[in-house]
Amino acid sequence: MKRLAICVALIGLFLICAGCKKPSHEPPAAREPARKLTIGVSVPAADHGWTAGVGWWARRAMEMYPDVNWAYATAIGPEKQIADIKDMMSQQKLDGLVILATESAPLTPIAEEAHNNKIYIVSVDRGFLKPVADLFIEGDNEAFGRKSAEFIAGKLGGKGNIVALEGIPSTVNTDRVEAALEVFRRYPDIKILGRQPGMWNREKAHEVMRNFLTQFDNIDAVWASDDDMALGVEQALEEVGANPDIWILGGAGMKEVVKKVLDGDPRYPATTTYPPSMIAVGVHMCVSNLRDGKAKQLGQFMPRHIKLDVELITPENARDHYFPESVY
Amino acid sequence: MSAEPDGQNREPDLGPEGLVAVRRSWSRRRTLEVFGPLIALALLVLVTTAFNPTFLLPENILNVVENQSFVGLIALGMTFVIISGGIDLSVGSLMAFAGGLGIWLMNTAIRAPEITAAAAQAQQAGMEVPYGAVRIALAGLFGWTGLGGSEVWGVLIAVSAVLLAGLAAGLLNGILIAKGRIAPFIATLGGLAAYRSLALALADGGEFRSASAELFKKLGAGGLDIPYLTNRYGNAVVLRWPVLALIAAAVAAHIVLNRTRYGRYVYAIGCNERAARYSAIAVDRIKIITYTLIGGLTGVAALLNSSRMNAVSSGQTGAMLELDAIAAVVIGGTRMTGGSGQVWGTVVGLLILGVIGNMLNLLQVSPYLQGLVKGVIIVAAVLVQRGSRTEQ
Repeated sequence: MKRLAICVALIGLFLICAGCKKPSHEPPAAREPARKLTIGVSVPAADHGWTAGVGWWARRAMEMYPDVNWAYATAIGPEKQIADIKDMMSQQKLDGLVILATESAPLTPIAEEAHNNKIYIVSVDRGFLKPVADLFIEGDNEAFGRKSAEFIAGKLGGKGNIVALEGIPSTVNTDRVEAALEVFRRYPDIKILGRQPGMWNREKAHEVMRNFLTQFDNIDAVWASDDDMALGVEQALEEVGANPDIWILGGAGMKEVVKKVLDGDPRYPATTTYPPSMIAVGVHMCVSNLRDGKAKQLGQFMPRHIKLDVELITPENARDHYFPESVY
Repeated sequence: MSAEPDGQNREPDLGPEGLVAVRRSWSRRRTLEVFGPLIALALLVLVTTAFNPTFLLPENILNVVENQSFVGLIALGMTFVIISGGIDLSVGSLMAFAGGLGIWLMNTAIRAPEITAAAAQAQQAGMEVPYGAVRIALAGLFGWTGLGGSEVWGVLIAVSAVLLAGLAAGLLNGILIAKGRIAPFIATLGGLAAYRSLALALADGGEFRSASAELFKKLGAGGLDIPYLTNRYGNAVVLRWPVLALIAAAVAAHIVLNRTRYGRYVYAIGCNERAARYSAIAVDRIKIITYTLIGGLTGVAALLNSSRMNAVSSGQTGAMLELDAIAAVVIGGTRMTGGSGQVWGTVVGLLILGVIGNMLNLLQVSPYLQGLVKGVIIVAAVLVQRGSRTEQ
């Protein structure tokens, strides 16, 4: 009975707290002249470096607009993300929603529901299968694969042996790899000894690279296709004391790797951009398009689909892509 | 309520003094054990409402139930499995595989004419055939039986395939455990790895995207409009099929567990398997039925989930879901060692987990700390209800 009594006491306490809190908070909100914008931001959880960068840039952009009511959630998979978005929609009246989908197809129905609720949707990086987003900002994954492959082919002089690490199986990865293979097909003297998923993850890439190194002794270059994976590959190369001439092409522009390119590290002749800050572009566009209530008119001339170019980062231009204070 | 079965099985070996002790402390101890989960749920609801009254909006409450309905169907099956002294870790992966297989077959059926034509064309031109041999053979079969190219038949094929895949996988688990004498943890751990891998292989690492744009989606995303209730956006509040399926399944599971001979036997096996065997209970058969049951419920969950998203992600769908299901069962007062537990406890456990998730979003707790809050609340919920169990 004692335990029950404590429970009841606690409940009572919470009720009192609730009673105290409400009056002091509600009236000022009701008296506010213009209605505050309410915007939801739903992004994947930081399961690898790039998504960690997404979270950092999203929050950084949100902090720029303290006059907006923000609802922010991160999800490990599509089910959690759907639940997050449903929660956001029912817990407050959303004006806008910025989504970086964990996966395209599973998120399409919920995005459609949000669209039917007349919420302004900005989709970043992974599009939906139906035209429900008011604005779609993505990195050019085909250019990512193509430019990477062209750089490798050029640096090898059209002849050599490479191994490739792929990302988490997804459309993003498929687009990149297909585009790269398309380029490599034009160079019959470039042999891809092995291709394995490294899941955009340092540990996994390290493990895969160790296997590659025991299998093959004639690797000239590694297409790590991601900077997290590039660091794992480098560690594997150092551990086995591999030929120092083997070089790595990562991707996505992690600050540590950009620094190495900037410093002229022979292992890292270049990397590519695929900035996680694109989420901040989405957040900013959502606020600015909604703020003055002109989203409809803006729709007449604003592009609905923005593709961010992927650039090669070389020692010459690395300075422009180096953000030491970013987490990625 | 939960006292009946294990009380009956335990009383004889307690001796007269023990019996008196049990009788004397029954009301207090049982009150906590039986109502513990409810008290925890009530506390959570009160705290959340106190901080943000929007929690109590009907659309938000429905959200909580709807978000939990897929893991909920599986947790109902898990209640039977855990009461019988077992565990099933394969359900999350199975949900991805069964749902994916259904969509894959449905797409093959709906696109059968295209697939057959494309394969024939590629063969004639001497080019690489764009589909696998199995897919072309199936497309031919669907075309030959006249089912190909029709959306309705495609959806029916998907529905039956998902349910059958769930039942078959459950049956396989049951046979491995009962006849193969493999520990449930190991047998189903194998399933956890194998079904995920099958799903990844079948989708080539990507997503299964349904070829039925609207019809298939109706199962999971459709429902009944609730009259007079509108959400914040002026649209009707929908009571969706997964919510109704969870309610129906929970009622059915409660009746089966408490009012049938099979239900009694599940408790008996979980309490003391050897004693059950000596009492001429067909232990193997009961176990096989139990694992087939959770397999079937996983099939239903897989069907509703894949339909709601109109897609399945081979890598992410259902990942770690088995742990959520087990958590719901344990929070609901079912003992991990088996022999005791109730269906309604699991339902309360599900609601607790659902409210936690909803609350963390509502209160805008930092996503990086949500796991900590969730973990603390889960352990606290179990502590509240088990505070005096050490006395036993």
